[in-house]
This record gives sequence, C-alpha cells and structure tokens, in this order.
Amino acid sequence: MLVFLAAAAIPTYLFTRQMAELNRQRNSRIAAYWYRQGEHQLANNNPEAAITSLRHATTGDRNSGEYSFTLAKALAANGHDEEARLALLRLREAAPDNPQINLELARLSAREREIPQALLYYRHALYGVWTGEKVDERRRQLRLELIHLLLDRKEERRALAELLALSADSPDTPEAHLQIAQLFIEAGDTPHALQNFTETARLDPKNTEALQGAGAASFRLGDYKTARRFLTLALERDASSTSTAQLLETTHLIESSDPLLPRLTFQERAARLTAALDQSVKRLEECAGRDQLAPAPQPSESEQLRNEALALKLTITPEKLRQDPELVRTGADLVFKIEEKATGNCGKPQGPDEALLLIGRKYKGIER
Amino acid sequence: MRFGTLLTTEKLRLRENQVFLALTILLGVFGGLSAVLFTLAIEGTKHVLFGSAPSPLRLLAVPTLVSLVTGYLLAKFFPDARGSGVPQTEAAYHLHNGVIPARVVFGKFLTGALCVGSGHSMGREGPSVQIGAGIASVLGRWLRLPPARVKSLIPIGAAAALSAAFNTPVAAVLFALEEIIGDMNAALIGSTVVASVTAVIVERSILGEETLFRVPAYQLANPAELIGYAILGVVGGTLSVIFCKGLLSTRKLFLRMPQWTRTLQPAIGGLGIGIMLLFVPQVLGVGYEHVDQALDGALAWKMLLILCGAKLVATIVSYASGNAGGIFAPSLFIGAMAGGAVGMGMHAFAPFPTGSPGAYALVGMGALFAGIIRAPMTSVFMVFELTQDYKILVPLMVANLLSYLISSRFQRKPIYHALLELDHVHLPGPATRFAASTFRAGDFMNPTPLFIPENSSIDDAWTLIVDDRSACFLVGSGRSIVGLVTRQDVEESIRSDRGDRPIASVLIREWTHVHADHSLEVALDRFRQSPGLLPVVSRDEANRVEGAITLETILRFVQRNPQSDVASSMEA
Repeated sequence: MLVFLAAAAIPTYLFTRQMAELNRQRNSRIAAYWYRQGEHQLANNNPEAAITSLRHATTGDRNSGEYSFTLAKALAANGHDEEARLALLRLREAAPDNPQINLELARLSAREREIPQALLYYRHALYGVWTGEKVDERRRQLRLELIHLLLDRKEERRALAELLALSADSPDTPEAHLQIAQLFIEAGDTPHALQNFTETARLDPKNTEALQGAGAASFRLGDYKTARRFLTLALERDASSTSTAQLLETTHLIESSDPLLPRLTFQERAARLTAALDQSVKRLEECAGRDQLAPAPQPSESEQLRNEALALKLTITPEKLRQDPELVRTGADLVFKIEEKATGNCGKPQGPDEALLLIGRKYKGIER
Repeated sequence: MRFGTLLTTEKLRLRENQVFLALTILLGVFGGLSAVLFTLAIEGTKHVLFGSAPSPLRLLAVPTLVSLVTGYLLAKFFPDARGSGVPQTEAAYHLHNGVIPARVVFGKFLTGALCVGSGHSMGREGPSVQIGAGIASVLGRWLRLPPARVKSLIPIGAAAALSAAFNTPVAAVLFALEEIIGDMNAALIGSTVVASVTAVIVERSILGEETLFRVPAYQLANPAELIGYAILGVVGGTLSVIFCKGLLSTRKLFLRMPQWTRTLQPAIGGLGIGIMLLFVPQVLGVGYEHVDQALDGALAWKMLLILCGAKLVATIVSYASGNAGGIFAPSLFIGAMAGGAVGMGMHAFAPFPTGSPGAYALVGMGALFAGIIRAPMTSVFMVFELTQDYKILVPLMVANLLSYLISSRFQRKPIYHALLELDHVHLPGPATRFAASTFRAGDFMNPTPLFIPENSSIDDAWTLIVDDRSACFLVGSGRSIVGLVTRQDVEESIRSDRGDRPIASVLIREWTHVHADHSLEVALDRFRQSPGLLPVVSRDEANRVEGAITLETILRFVQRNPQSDVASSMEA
C-alpha cells in the first residue's frame, strides 16, 4: 500500500508542478500588463498611478529586477525615499556592481545630504560593471553629476580630484574641454581651467566662450598679455559683451600703467610712477575726505601715506630713477600700499585704481 | 525458543518503525503538495473572479454571490469545514482519535479556496493544516493503522501542510507541538520534523526558494529602542484582545440567529466584505502583498492604521459569518500594520535613533500572532525563520511576551478553544491532559442518571424524584441538558402550593460540569462547587450528558477502590 502511495505521489507532484508553472506564467503576464501600464502612466506624468501599477507588477513577478528597479526609480522620483531606498538596497544585494542601482542610491543619499554615503554609491556606480552602448559617455556623465554634487556641497578638493580624472577620460572635443574648464573655474583651479579653455580655443578658434574664459583665466593669473590677446579675439567675435570689454579695458590700463614692467625707458617709468602716485593720492583723498586729512596734532595713517606719496612724487625724475634703481620699487610699493588701504576703507575700486591694485597684487604674488 | 520470539518481536517493531517513517515521509510529500495546490487554487479562484483590475460592482458582487454558494455547500455538505481548521484539527486529535473524514478534507479545500479566493479576509494556513491533517487521517485509516497510530498522524500532517503553506519548517513543527498536541515534549517531535522538512522540500522544488515575505534587514539602532518594542507588545496585546472579543461576540450573534439562516450567514458576511472592498480593497483575501509593503516601509502611517482597523473588522465579519478560512494570516497582517504604525511613531517622536518601520512591522507580526493564536514559541521562531537574524530575538521576545500576557489576562480562553466552545466542543486543557492520577471522572460517574423532562411541572418532577435520595437532579434529556434542580427547591415549591408551576421556575441555569476524561482532582474540586450533582458532558457536544457524579457515586467508587486516589482525596 505504501508503494502504491509512493507511486501516486509522483503524478500528484507532476500535476502540482504543472499547475504552479501555469500560475507563474499567468502572474508573469499580469505583471507585464501592469508594467506596461506603469510605464505609460510615467510617460503621461501620472506618477502615483504609475507607482500603483508598478506595485502590481512587482507583486505579480517578484523576481523581475527590471520591474522592481522601475518601481524604485518612480518611488524615488516622487518622494517615497524610504521605500525606494529599501527596494534599491534589496536589488543591490542581488547585484552589488550594478551601476544603475548604485546611481539611484547615490542620488537618494545625496538628496538626503548623506554625502559620504552618496560618494560611496557614486564610486560603486562609476566603477561598476557597465553594459550596453556608450559606456564611456555614460560613465563621464555620471562623474560630471558627482562633480556637480561636490561643488554644490562646497567640497572643492574632492571635486578637483574627480575633475582631474574626468579630464583624463574625456574626449578631445571643444565641448568637453570647455565644460571641464568651467568646472575647474568653479572648483577654483584657474591654471587647469586656462589649460582647457586654451585647448578649446585651439580646437575651435571661433568659440567665443572659450576665448572669454581663456582671457578671464589669464587675467586672473596675472598674465595680462595673454589675457589681452584672448579678450581681443573674444570681443571681435562678440562685441556686445560688456564684461569682456570691461576686462579688456582693465587689461589695457594695467599694461599702460605698470611702472615696473621691464624694458620701459626711464622717462616712461618716471611718468608712470608719477601718474600712479597722483592717482593713488586722489583715491585716498576721495575715499577718506578732505577734512580727515587736514593737519592735526596726531596725523592719521592715511594722512601719513598721502604726505609720503606727495613728498616722494617731488623726487621722481628719469635721472633719479637711473641713479637709484630701487626708487621705482619704493614708489610702486607706496602706491600699492595706498590702494590697499583705500580698498580696505572704501571697497573695491574701478578703472585706473583697480588697475593699480591688481598690478600691486601681481607683484606681491597675490592672485585676485 | 524464548530468545527467538524476542528477536521476532524486535524485528517486527523495527519494521513497524521503518514503515511509520516511510509513511511520515509520504505524509510530508502529500501535506506539502496539498498546501501548494490549495495556495494555487486560491490564487486561481481570485484571478478568475476578480481579474486584473476589478470594477467596484465586481468587488461588491463577487464575495456576496460566491458566499451564497459556499454557504449552501457548508450548510448542506461540509458543516465541519467552516472556520479556520486548526480548532477542528485539535478536536480531531484530542476527541476523535484522529479521525477526519475525507469529505471534510475535500469540503475544506473547495470551500476554503472559494471563500478566500472570493475576497474574504481570511488566511490559507488554518485550512491547510486541516487539509494536511485530514489527508494523514484518511491515509492512516486506509492503511488500517490502529487508532492510536492514526491519531499520531494528525500533528504530522498538520506540520507538513503548515510548513509548505508558510515556508517555515521549524515554526510548523513547533505549531504542531504547541497548538495541536499541546505538549512541547511530545514523542512525535521526530516525525513532525521529518514531515515538515519533506513538505518544505517539496514546496520549494515547486514554487522556488523565494521567501514568503521580502523581509528587511533587521537592526536594533539603539538599546533604548526596546522601549518601542515593549510599546508594540502592549499595542499587540490590546489589539489581540479586541480581535478575540470581537470575533467571539460576533460569532455568538450569528449563532443566535435562527437555524434556517445558517445557509445565508456567509453571504451576509460576503456582502459586508464586498462593501468594505469598495473602500479598502487591500483587505481582499490573504493580503500578504500588503504585508510586504508594510515591511518595506511603503505605507504611510495613516494607511497603516486604516488597514490595521479594516483588516481586523473584515476578518471578524468573514470568520464570524461562518465562512471557511483561517485567522493565521489576518493576525500577521494586522500585526504588520500595527507594528509599522508604532515604528513610524517611534521614528517621529523617540529621542534616540530607531530602526526602520519595517523592522517594527516584522516584530508586530509576531506580537499579534502570540496574542491571538497564543502560541508564543511558534510566534518567536516563525519571525526568526523569516529574518534568519539573531538580532531580532530579544525585541521579538519582549513584544511577544507582553502581547501574550495582556491577551491571556483579558481573554482567558485561547481563541481556537473559545471558538470550539461556541460550537459546544470542549477541548481538554493541559491540567486534564497531563493529570498524574490514574482515575478519571468517567470512572466514578453514574452513566444512567435520572432526567426530569424540560416541560414538566414541579408536581411531575416530584413524582419522578420522590423515591430518589439524591440532592440534585438533571433537567432535560441525555442529548440536551438544560439545567439542574435541587430536591430542596422542589420540596419547598410543593410545600408552598406552587407545584403546578413549570420546573423551569426553579431551574439552576448556570452550572459547572466535567468531562469524562477530567482527573479526579478536577472532578472533586468541581463537585464541591456544585449543588450536589456534577454533570459529565461530552467534549464533542457539551449539551450531551454522558453521566452524573453525585456523593453517592463517589462513595460507591471509594467502597470499590479503597486504596484509590479518590479515597485519599476524600480523606484530605
């Protein structure tokens, strides 16, 4: 009898298995239907209905990573962060190297300001197993997303590290170089920015943005000659840009007022130094007001600087400069000191005073 | 020669054990297959009846109309297939020598699949247990096993079916021992383990390795979080009491309705469920997909509370109206929702870091199970098996223990036993099952007591009892006792010329009783509380009298057995 029972168990088992398979197929069909509904609703900007449909889909076919991932993305996109995170973490358990899952987790963490966690997931996404087409470009876009996040969070050092990696992996196109250059500017790395702007301009000489960027970066680095060259080219291509025109004007002013430039004649150097002293005294007077500079029992620092400048001005002649090579340096230092003082008291100057201030900073090694 | 006989006996015993082991494995296979088929039948029925996206009309009509059909089937053909199946299995084990008719197995499968598949808020585990145990019983009798062996197959079949239905083999074994047998040290532990493991292998080979729930990773974020789990235990206990009291009182209401309404009662429940489905479709059927959502933290606290309350009401309506389906799954559903809500509350208000609401939902499932089903060990191991994480044990035990204690305090009878008692079936309690004494109430009762007919007058009763020296008498008949009367009350009525009044005017309606298997200690203790006569009633049908214990029957027994426990108890 037991043998008969054992024999009966076999067809019963096979029958049950067949029933289970039919049930599984039916559930898969229903799940696919709900998945299509969900996608359609997502496309029609009906996220809550889509979430409900996608839930049905995942209930019908719990093993489908595609359904679960789409649901998780829909949940994340509609503020169901906690559920989305749990769903993604569960998917990640099965596929820890999946870049898409790690990316969604990174975005979720970033949104919740969990930056270390977000960075971890971004890195897993970056170095995950990418499949499909345009892998390099997708990976590059992901790194760009990470850089933007870091810059938004004022994490410039980390952003610079990623930017260097990005510039190494990027294609040699003007668009890529320009984008990287702008990001270097945001991260505060002007030399690398200049390098990329210059590269853009080399590849696309008509790219106004690159010319403007290269000009501005050179200006910031104190290379006014290069700045003038790029800014002139930029202005030729876009004459309406007031900022470029202003920057070029300041460059001209700097180049025409710098008393310390090499290869100037003594007459020219003396004239520039005298003009600079006059300009700085004028700025000091305008800034402080005449009354404050009037004779008093205890002269103020501004008054002392003014008196010193006026006294020095009387001594400056081409002949004196020839006899005393240090005199031009002393005079220039005084001018810069006065401009710094006036800037400290009255704010950022414009026009010739700005030029003098920038010349001073250039020689002091201070980048603007 | 004598040595040879011993060898033969030993060989026979060994062979018998081997045969029993083989049968146990086969029962595991059939139990597992039956549970899988039952699950598939429910899913198939649900799909056929509701489709992918049911309209409101369909939601309303399907449970009502299908319940009309199941109501008829249950009333006419399968009256023993109503309800969960667990209490009926317990009754079969303790009272009927393990006999579950094949008709009940078939009826349970059919009506259970129709009821749960048509949207009733009921579970599939209870019916699976009865079907599995029923198959074991049918096969045992078909193989002409002795009654004791047939009886021992009941927990084996039950464990196999539950193991496959819930995919937790250890919890299934514990459930069979703790709930069905009522003894954690039962000798059948080995067989239940074999059947349970066999069934789960069969189930996984068909449905795959996937767990029933997508359980979140458990984490106790802070030791102070145990306060949260204690709160969950209190909430779980309170909800368990509300559920049990609500279910029992609603079931009583339905039972009080006229007999002819029995066929229609499931449809009344079906209509109630249909109306609920229009507003809260999540209460449809087993509802494990929504438990999954609670475990995922996918439900907002408002939705968790709504689902908790709605499921509680829906399950009471479905069960109390006499449909076929269990309360195992609903208790987990309610627990998950309550747990999720407590978890969200903790997350919002606790001054320390807390785990995810999903973790609370998981513990909540165990807490409600411990409170409603009253199987604390099963509840702990069930959730432990789902998570496979030791870290959950302490919070789980805290919550389950509190829930169990609160539930036991305010609802003394476990729900399955209380439901059986509503059907006049009294299961033996632990005191009876484990009584050390040799003698039972049946040994010293009078099996042919005198009955005063229910419609007699006091004068008629006096005529009947005048020659009997007993102090108290039964009123009614052997098939249905209605109460007791004392000789003193009858005499006083006669003396004060009230002999023409009906006997009901002096009837004692609240009376204590014993069952024939009660120990002599219990019988003597209850006899002291009686007015002089202690009815011995059937466990199977508590209105049916099997005998009566009076002082006279006790004295007669002591005379026959002077060295018995009764004699020493009497002396004491």
